[in-house]
Amino acid sequence: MVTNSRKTPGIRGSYEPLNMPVPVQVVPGLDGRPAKILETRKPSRVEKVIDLWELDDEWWREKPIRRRYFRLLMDSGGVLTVFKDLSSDEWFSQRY
Amino acid sequence: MSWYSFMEGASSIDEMLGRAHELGYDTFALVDRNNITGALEFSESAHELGIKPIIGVTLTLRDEGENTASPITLIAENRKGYANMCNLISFAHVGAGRIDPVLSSRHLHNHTDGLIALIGEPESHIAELAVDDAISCADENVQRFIRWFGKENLFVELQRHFVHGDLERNRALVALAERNDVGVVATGGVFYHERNRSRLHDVLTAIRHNLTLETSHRQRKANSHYELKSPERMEQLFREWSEAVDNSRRIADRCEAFSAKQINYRFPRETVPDEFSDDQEYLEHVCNEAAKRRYGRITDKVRERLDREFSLIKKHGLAGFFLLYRRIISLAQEVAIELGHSSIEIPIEEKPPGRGRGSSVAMLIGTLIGVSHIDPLDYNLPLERFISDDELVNTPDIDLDFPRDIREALILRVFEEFGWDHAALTAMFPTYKLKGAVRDVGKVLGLPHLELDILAKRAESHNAADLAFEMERIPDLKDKINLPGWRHLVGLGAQLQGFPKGLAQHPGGMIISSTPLIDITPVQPSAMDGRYICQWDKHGADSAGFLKIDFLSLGALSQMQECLQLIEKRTGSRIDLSRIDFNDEAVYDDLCRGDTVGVFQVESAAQMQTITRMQPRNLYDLALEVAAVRPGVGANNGVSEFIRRRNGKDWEYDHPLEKRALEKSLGIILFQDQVVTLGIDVGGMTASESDQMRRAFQRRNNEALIKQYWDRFRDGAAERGVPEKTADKIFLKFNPHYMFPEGHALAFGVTAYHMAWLRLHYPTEFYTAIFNAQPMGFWPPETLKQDAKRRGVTIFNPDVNLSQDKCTPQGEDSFRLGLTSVSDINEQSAKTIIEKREWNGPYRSFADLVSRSGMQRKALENLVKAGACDDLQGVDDRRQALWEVGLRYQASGSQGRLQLDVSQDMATLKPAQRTDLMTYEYETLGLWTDDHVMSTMRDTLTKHQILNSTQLDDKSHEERVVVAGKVLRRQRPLGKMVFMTLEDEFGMIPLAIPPATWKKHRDALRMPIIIAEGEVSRKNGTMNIMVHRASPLKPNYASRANIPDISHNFR
Repeated sequence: MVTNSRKTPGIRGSYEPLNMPVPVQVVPGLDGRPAKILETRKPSRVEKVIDLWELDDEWWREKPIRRRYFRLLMDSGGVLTVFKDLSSDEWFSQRY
Repeated sequence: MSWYSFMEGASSIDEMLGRAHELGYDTFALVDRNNITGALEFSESAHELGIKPIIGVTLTLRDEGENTASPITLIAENRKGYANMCNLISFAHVGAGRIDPVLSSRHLHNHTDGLIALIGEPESHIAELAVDDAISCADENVQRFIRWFGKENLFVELQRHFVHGDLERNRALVALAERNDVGVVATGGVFYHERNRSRLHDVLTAIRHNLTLETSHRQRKANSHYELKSPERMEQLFREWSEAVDNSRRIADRCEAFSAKQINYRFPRETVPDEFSDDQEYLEHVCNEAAKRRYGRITDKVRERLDREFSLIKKHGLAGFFLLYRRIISLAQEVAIELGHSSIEIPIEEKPPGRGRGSSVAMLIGTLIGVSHIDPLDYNLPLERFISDDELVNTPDIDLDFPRDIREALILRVFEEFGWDHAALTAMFPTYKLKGAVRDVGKVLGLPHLELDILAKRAESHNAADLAFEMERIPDLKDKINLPGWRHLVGLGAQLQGFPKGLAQHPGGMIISSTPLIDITPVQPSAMDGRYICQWDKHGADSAGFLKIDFLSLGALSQMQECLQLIEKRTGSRIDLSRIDFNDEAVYDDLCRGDTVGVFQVESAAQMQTITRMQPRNLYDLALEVAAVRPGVGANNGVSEFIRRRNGKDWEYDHPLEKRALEKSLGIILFQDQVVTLGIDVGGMTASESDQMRRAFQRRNNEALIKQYWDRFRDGAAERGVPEKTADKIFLKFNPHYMFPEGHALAFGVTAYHMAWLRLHYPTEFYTAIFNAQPMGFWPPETLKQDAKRRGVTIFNPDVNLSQDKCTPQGEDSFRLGLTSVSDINEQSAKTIIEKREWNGPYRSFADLVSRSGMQRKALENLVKAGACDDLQGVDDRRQALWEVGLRYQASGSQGRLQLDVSQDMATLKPAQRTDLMTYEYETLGLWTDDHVMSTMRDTLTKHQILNSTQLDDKSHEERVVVAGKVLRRQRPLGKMVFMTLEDEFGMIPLAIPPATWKKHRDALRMPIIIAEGEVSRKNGTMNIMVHRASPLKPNYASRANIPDISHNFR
């Protein structure tokens, strides 16, 4: 079976996948939702979770996708989307 | 949504309801897509669980010329709404086609009474407009629905599945609802009862779109949150819009509970002639007249029975029902006369056009109106299983068997007579079993086609839950079980087992109604032109109380009919099978020997084995025989015990109260009716209660129900002085497996006798007819040919100058194969060959045949191989003639076929050998007219002490033997021992293969011709070879057989 048939074909570097998740450091609150985002320059506090959704797909592949997304209103007034990879418990940010 | 939203819903109705019950729902709505097929099953199960059932449907709305199609969900608030819903579903199917039903607003706006409409589901057009801020368009759309349904009956649907965009959509929809002053409602959008079915839902989605999982990203749901959620969870999810949850409750309260009683079905009424006051009086008159014709005068016995039946019919208001059956039978009689199978002078009750089956055979009235060919008075058949004094719970069933041609014509005649809006065929649901699951799930998982094919073909079980076990047994696949794709196949295949794939046409169940059918059940076109089916299967039709008439096609009746016509043609006299000698010793001698190939109902290997032990000597014995070989009897080891008792073993009733029920069958339950009688006599139940108990055993998930019946049976038995232990022993004899009603067994027993009688006295016509009725699904032509030969009937090869399309008798003791017996010669080709020779004289030579018949090359070659050209001038050898086909044949479209001289191009070939002829004929006719494949190897086999079928007669119990033969069939009745039948040129050899042997020699045992070593096992007058070892046997045409290598293993 093909492990990842959607893998972009071609020579390395000739195609750039768009909107790839970027690892991010998240401090979760007691409810498991993001409370703080630690970035290199300055950590920012989460004001409010304004939306929440999940992806659960590609379960037939070696690495299924299981993600819980949070759309966050930050104390800076900005909006940020992060997700927790439910298989690895790692956090990423992704433009949405 | 249930699994009746085909290829979409991923849980059964029972699973959904079970989960709803667990979660504490007191009201629950089933909303499937495009159908309400599950409605009755749903309402029955819901009522049992104390849940109020509501019915809805999701349809696609699109108007002509519009590009946007949008789903709309309709909920039936009351009976009127239900009728409108049935109408709308029917219009959607009839108007737009079978595959993708679409409803137009033209129909919708006229049928909104009693319906509550939900709009705005996630992928709907309205939701898109709302989200896109296309306010005026969205409002306009809502206003249109308000005009049709009224504000109080229209709701905007909110769903939450944790999918990106849910929040935005719901907010937009709430704003839309507020602007237009309509309510919002929270709905589940449920595709499965538990989250662990989400993968199956993905698989079904991919199958439905004919895609793989990899390519169906757009079609699949984003996550696994489409499960049934608890009421508390719903409240939590819709906290922001609590009104939406309140409205769900309000709608639930507004809707009437759905039940079969809401379906306002009425039997069609027959017109009663003026001189009779009502249909009861008319029916009685019709039956009395028929009884006078039948019996000469009405005796006290007949009077007594008729009066009892008349009073029951009156009590239950069934006179119209029986008159309707009489009308159907009259239509069948008209059809039979038109087809030349009957004559207008013969009264219906004397020669009914069909034959009754099932419990209805117990009614004398049935015999008198022509729905049965058995006189119940001759056998003292009890009425209770069919009809009793108690309240009528189900409409009685009357099933009718017809010869194929009468049935086909009758179905169309009924549509003509009643119209499609008053008559429709019932549906059935093909379901997923192992093979289908392997192919479909394997394909969407992207597994290699070749390996899937191996698994589908080599698996023995039909149950996809056995997939791991089956893979384990196939060497090529054994190591793959734990590989990712295959592991998913095993798990998901098991979940898919039993899932309905869609709606198909039942072979013959028809419902007829006096109110328009589309007011009471949706009707949709069938795959066959001009036919319509309702959305319920026979159980649904039963629950709805529909008058359902089963027109079944029975190949054996076609065969019998043709046989009688052939006899009349040869002898000039017409045989009346109702007046033949039913005590013909020679017929019973054949039956008792197990000499029953081709005899209806008693020709299976299992029947052959049983009949030699049962030794039937009259019609009732034959009915017992027919009834005995049924799963319901076998389940309690009933057959063997019955035979032992019949052969003199001492026995006693478990309680004297069993006597009335079980006297005829020596204390063993052989018939359905006996379960009912035991319920009455031992358990103190009413007749209908007892019949309900019998039916309960056949239902799925019936544990609780059976427990209730056991309590009832035990208490009733205790009142009658039956100790609990004895009652338990009797109750344990009831089981869910199929058994015949007594009348049905008699009806089939009589047909079996007719066949055995014809086979004995008119073998040529019997075999000619059975060849013409193929495929009958039992014995292959080769076996029938061998059997005919043993009975002194010679079979001639087809002949292009002498054969008709079908087989035809040639004198008293031979027949010639028809042209359609040759593969690749269909009816049309046969007709052409015959017409050309009738118009311009017989074919003079092979060249003449090629030139005049215009047959395709393959057809010409097959005619040569089948021996159909042997007598043509210039054909001395079939191999040589095949060469000539190549020289003479010109593809159609080329210039005229001239009969040019080809002698200069003829090669001198080695003449075809006997084994070549054998191969040619097996290939093109499925049989070798001259001999049997085993005879070509006989010398060598004998040299190696391998026995033929006749040599087994004098072998004693446990004697070691080696036999060889062509495999006729393999059966595994209870999933343990495999039974096989081998055939050689002298007869048949029964093999029994213990599981260990099967496992070890499975590949050999699955070959077409085998050698088997084992011990003779003789028990209770039956003989089997208990096989220890087996090996394939390949005829080697050059040296006759290559046995030495193989037989070496057996020394």
